[in-house]
Amino acid sequence: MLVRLTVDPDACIGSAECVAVDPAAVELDESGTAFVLVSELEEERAKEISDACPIGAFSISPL
Amino acid sequence: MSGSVVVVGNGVSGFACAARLADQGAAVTMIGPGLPHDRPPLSKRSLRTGRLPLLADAEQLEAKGIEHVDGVVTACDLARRRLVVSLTAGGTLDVEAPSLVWATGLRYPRPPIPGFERAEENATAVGLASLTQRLTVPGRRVVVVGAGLIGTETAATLAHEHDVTLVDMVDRPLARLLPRVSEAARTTLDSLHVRFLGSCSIDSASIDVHGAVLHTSTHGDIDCDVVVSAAGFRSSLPPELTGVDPRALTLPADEQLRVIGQDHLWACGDCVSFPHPRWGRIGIPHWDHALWSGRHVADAILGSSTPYVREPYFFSDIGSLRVQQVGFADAAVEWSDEDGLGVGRDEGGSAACVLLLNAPSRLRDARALVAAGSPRSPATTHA
Ligand SMILES: Cc1cc2nc3c(=O)[nH]c(=O)nc-3n(C[C@H](O)[C@H](O)[C@H](O)COP(=O)(O)OP(=O)(O)OC[C@H]3O[C@@H](n4cnc5c(N)ncnc54)[C@H](O)[C@@H]3O)c2cc1C
Repeated sequence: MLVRLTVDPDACIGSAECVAVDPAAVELDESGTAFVLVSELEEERAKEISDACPIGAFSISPL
Repeated sequence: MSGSVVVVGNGVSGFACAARLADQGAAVTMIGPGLPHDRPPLSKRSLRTGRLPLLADAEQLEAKGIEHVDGVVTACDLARRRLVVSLTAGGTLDVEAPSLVWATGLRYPRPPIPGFERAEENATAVGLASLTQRLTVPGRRVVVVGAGLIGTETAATLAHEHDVTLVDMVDRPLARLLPRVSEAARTTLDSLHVRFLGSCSIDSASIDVHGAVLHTSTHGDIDCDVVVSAAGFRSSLPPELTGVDPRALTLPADEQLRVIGQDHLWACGDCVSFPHPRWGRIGIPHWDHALWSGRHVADAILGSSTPYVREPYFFSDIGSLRVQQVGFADAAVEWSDEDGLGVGRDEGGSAACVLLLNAPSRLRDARALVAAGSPRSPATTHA
């Protein structure tokens, strides 16, 4: 199933664990804050990225 | 375990510990000034937005079941398990602490240069609020004193809107890190038009709300609008805990992060040292360890006997330069480039430390390399 992945930029501290999991889907901006590069992605992939975040800054929602 | 766990310190590690304890249904009191907040954004995003990166507001603390005492611990009687808290709102409070977690991090005082007491800083919530107020108008002439990680990040962030000079006693930024990191930082600072004044010795400072002059014996007088202090850190530990060495940065703990010789006291974050199976006793003054050691202490208090094992890891953003380092750089005797990773090998030839410059997607590879170099796996070491 395709889902939407979003990140709370105020919660992100830039540990980059998400980018290590899926650099094609998430990147960091200049202040070290993660942003999502894709508008939709497979739920499993989104979950893997979200689970890698040590502080739970990602949310997954249905399209 | 009986009674409430008291966590002293409301930063990254203390909050991680308190939140984990509360999530597991334990009664927990967290003591610290103001609302708990994160640190890394203070020298990056928060400097630009002015927003404090809160970990939880008062409502969220209450919903989680964390009792927050807004104040600082000013006295601690370990034998009687009692603390005295100086409350932010005024007055003092006696707190009983049957189980105690120490998580007060480090202090970031201004260097003892005459006149420097009035310099701004951005390592604390109060400092951030004051500094961002001074920088609402773009184009200010800012001097950042101290070219360690916090100062270099701060200079790079402020350079987007201001005219920034970065000053240090040593001749290169990030001098404590590897030369290649220092060089990359220097190039990035140049591209952001940050002036770096190395080998600079400040004798005194004249600072008021209208502007500042730094009097140096090496570069004459430096005029500016705002001075930001980012020059080093000190111990946050009280004498009751440090004993003979008042400058000790960390409390020595065992594998569960229980402070040695104190059966009801644990420590986590910047202010603990622990026995790492490969590196011996180390402290790790970085965010990743603060979070995981805080959570580990909560689990240990709740009965887990798993030893704490975590490789040192830090990340830093200096403008567009992303620096990440995994492992223990002090153990590396030889560095080489291996498949795009900067790998430091120990005397036995095993990977001790991996440096990533603008390569965040390689973090897993870096961790795997350092883990493979480990002579003893944690499971066998502590079986
Ligand atoms: C500006 C800045 C930027 C950073 N950037 C990065 C980064 O990019 N990457 C990285 O890996 N690390 C970074 N770090 C380091 C990282 O944030 C720390 O390692 C981490 O915050 C340590 O967590 P801690 O809980 O031990 O201490 P802290 O987060 O410092 O929290 C300690 C808390 O204890 C409170 N306290 C102190 N004394 C008392 C007392 N007597 N009673 C009650 N409370 C007390 C303090 O007010 C503070 O809130 C940065 C640090 C700073 C300051």
